[in-house]
Amino acid sequence: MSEPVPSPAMPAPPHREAVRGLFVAHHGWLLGRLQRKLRQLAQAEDLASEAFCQLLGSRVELSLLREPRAYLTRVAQNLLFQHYRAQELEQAYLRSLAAWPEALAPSPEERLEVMQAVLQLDRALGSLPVAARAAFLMNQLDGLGYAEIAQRLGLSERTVTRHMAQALRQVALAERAFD
Amino acid sequence: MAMADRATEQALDWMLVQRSGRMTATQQEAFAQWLASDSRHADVWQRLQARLAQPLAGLKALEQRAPGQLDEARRLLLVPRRRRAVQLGLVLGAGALAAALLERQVPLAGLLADFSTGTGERRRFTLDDGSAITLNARSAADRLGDGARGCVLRSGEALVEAVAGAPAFELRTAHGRLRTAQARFVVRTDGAASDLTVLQQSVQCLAADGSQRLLAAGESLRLTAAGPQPLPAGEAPDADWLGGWLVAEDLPLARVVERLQPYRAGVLQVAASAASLRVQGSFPLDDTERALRALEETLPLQLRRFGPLLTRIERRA
Repeated sequence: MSEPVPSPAMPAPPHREAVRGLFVAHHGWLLGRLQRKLRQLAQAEDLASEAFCQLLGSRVELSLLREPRAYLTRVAQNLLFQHYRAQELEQAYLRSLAAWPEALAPSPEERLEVMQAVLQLDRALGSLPVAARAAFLMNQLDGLGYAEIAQRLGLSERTVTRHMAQALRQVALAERAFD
Repeated sequence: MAMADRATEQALDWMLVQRSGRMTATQQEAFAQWLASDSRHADVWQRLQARLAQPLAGLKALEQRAPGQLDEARRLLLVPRRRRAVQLGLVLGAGALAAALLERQVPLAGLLADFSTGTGERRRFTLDDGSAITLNARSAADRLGDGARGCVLRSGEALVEAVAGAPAFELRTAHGRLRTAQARFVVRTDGAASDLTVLQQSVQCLAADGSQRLLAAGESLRLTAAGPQPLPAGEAPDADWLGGWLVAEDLPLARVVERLQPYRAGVLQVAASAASLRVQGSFPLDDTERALRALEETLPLQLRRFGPLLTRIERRA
């Protein structure tokens, strides 16, 4: 698989043309594969569209792609994984909400706010393991230093430092939405 | 992950020190020097800050946008990701364990029932006539239709509070019908049998073999497809689970684990060699880890964990 090369800041009309070309050539194929995986046409269509939207917004020099289908597959797989993860978190949230007394339960609008905030950060955290996530949140949200985090999590300060290093790298550097 | 250029690597190092909570004056000086030494350093530092702040912004705003939900949001972020097994064109494994795990995530039968509870969930539902049914975790029930009063317990366990009314209240299971004018009772059902304990008043039991029996407060009964059967000692349903407790009085480990399973996302397997060990004690349903540790301490057991998805309970050699 060829490695895509980032192009300069603004996506010029040629880029849009390139995406259109890829759409015509590969949308049907991608839709078919997604349909077989998801078994629901509407969902498959959504994901296929989103994949091409991402291409539009990306800075990748599409004309340099030697294997566009492989690249599209990567994009779609990433979207699929995000889709499943969002479902997983939504289900976990609903299960937890079911135990709340009616009077204190959040409104649908508030629930949407929660899911959006969670999914956004969850994507940024990527495959960062749970312990590192916990340390990161304690540091960023509660303002705790590594010594205090170590005490609370029952870890050594060196381990917490390692987790924080990993977390900072992940959030700062990881590819997000292929941008 | 992308390879960073040297300036970004340095910026990351500085960020790590800054966030530690024990940055010294000397380090502050060194950082200021690094920032000033090259205009690109300040740029990179800015971008890094922005990149880190952005995904956190939504979460930080939650206290205003959805008060009281920040803790829930943090909890969700710590839900472990399932392994990245998403390959377009590959079919997910269909082994027995995979099926069991999928079933744990999405209880398919329960989704179609009028009333259902998920893993670790207890919930009280009010019926049209004012009666109530409280379902234990991973249980499901349906209303009776056609003006009849009552429910069908499809799976799991329930506390039934039948209020006075007409016609008679009925709780149906696969193994018989429980009829009452007014009563409080606990009923549990699985594929093999439906067990009942009457807590208050009395309940008429109509068994599959046509026999009938009136049960008074404090009495228990087991119904099977063949009719009433003796209830093994210690297995009569109780109401302790309402308070989150499993109280075992000389109960086989296999039964104990069965009662804990609906409170645990992962699968619990009991080895045959351990299944008939007798258990005595009270175990917290809402903290299955603690319950398992307590079992490990009092019985000759060895727990083997395979991630959060599977725990095997074996007899210690």
